[in-house]
Amino acid sequence: MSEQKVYCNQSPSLPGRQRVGKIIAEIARANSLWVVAYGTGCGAIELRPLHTARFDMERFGIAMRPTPRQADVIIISGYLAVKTLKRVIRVYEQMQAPKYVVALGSCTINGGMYFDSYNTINQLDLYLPVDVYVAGCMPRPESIIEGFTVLMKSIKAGEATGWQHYIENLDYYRSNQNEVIPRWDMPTYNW
Amino acid sequence: MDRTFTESDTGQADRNGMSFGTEMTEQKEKLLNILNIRFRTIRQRTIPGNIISLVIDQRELIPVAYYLRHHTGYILLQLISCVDWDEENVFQITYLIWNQNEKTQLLLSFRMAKDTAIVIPSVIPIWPHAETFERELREMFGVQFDGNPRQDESFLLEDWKGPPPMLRKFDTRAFSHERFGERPGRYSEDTRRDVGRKVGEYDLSRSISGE
Amino acid sequence: MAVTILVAFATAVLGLCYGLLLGGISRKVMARIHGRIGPPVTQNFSDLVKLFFKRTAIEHGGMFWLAPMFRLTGGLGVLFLVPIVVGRFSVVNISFAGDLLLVVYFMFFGCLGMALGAGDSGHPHAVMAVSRGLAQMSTYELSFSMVVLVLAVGLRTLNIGDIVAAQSGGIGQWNLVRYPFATAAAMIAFLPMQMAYPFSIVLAPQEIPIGPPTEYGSRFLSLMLAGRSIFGVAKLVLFMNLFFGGASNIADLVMKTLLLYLYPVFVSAVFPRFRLEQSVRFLLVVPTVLALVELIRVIT
Repeated sequence: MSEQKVYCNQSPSLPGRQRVGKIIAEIARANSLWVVAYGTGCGAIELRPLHTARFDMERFGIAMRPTPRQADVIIISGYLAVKTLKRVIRVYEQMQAPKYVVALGSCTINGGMYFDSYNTINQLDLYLPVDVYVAGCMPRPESIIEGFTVLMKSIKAGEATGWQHYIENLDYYRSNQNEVIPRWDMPTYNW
Repeated sequence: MDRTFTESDTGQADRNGMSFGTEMTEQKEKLLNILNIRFRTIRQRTIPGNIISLVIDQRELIPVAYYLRHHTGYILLQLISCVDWDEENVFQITYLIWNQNEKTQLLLSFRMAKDTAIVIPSVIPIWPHAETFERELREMFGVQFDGNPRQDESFLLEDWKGPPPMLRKFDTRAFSHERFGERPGRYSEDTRRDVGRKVGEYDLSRSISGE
Repeated sequence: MAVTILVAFATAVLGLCYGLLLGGISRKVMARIHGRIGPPVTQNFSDLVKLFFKRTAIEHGGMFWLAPMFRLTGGLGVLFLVPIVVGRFSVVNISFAGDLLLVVYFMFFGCLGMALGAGDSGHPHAVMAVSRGLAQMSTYELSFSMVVLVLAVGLRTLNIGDIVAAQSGGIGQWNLVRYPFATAAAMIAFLPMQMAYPFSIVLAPQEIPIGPPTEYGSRFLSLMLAGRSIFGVAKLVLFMNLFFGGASNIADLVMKTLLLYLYPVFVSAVFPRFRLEQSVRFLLVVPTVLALVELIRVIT
């Protein structure tokens, strides 16, 4: 009961249009993308070489943060079991706007290697708004960097609005999520 | 079967360390002699290498398991596995038990008919970690174990409602398409066809070991 | 009057920019040591702007809101109290007798406010990190206070401006040369102040994910980043004034603070992290003994 006052019972709302400093804000957001350090699937093994000297993602400003409160991007790296999907949705909703989703691998596109499994989802964008798909099984670190470059370009052009789409079409996403997740016992966060 | 044996293990391994055939005959015969005296339904299946495979009747499971655990070197239960023979309508439950002194594995299996309401006694009093294996079989195959305290809790699949997913007659592909949808434009590439195109011809009847 | 306000404002803004630039330089230097390319030196500016424009939807209580303010206030307080440039063209914001003690108080107060705010966030990781950080802080504050005592007794003043004036006249007059043990103790105590690597117990990314700023995001974090930058610059200028002769012009200031800043960066690059009991044991013994030796030498 005492936890109830921490959660917000209103439905989410879009922020007002940002007029002042919009260009500076978009450039700054593109140059400093912080990723939630959450390896959801087998693609997380391709994220580790990005820290090393060979592929160095820090030169793009990308850093890994341990908490979703401080992150901009969540990387869905591969297949998603239904159990993981529930937790990923919770992590995504805890992130602060504006936020982006990068989906790695063919399992997020059409089910990939696990297209006939009883426990993994087949299409990720029924449940989360995806900004960039990176194809491969798993994509190599160079491909992931290319995906981030595409994301940065679309942020600067003002086209990476997945999070707004999520807020506007929340009923659609929620109905899809409730179809596959039998017991939805998570609080609604105010994001 | 390409585990390297030293001479102290069997006394009969060849120089390459490969061990096919029935080199374990001495140990197998010793064990079988002891078991055949005490229990009625032991039969042996021939499997090459350092594996002894025994078929028993389901009613003698607990006495045989107890004897193996406490009076022989076979003390470590590694896995309980289940095979769904859909054509004969039986489940075959196999217990994999390991002997660290002789480095041999024992497969203890029995068959039970699916339709009858047989409940298998749980081996938790003998091996306490069997609880996990039995819960897995309960969730994936629907096999009931008598005496497992956490049997009805979900194991890996949270809130799963539906038939046990590892049964042969459960069509996972249809289930997945119906529940999670199918992306239009998706196609599968059969690698055998692909390799066949490159190699020229692919003969499935050729075996790998060349015998 | 207007000129002093303008100078103070310019000090704050330029201090912030310099601090962010130094942060970028340290990331670049660390990356080059690792053999990587590293982010551009303006990376911390991008981080600050990005965090400022993020939406803030977290609420935990009054102390949670105030804590970044405490840290910023502590940093600004130290920045205003130390003389920046003392020479033909001086930039000195506030100076009075005894301001060295006030500076030490502000440094402690900034970190304490941060600790209280992190405790209010209710996250167990934050609370754990705060207790570890305060344990470490009590040990290095001990030796730092003894060094302050050495300077007070030796130079008979607690005014930083007077301490700088006493060091004029060449390198031989610097406190580095006159009180070498005290300088060594203060340099060792400088490492945990900058959260450099053997003593980076508070923000320990592999042990307690991120420590006190765990629940802070978006605008709070931008405030904390700004506070950290300003605090860093203020500590650098303070140490430069206390031990290395102060700055007589801007070029001198920039060169000395840059070299002083690179010292914890280089130490960070080669050391792993201490455990808490190792760090406490080290900081209770080594700098305290050095400062004690100097104190005895000064008193007799």
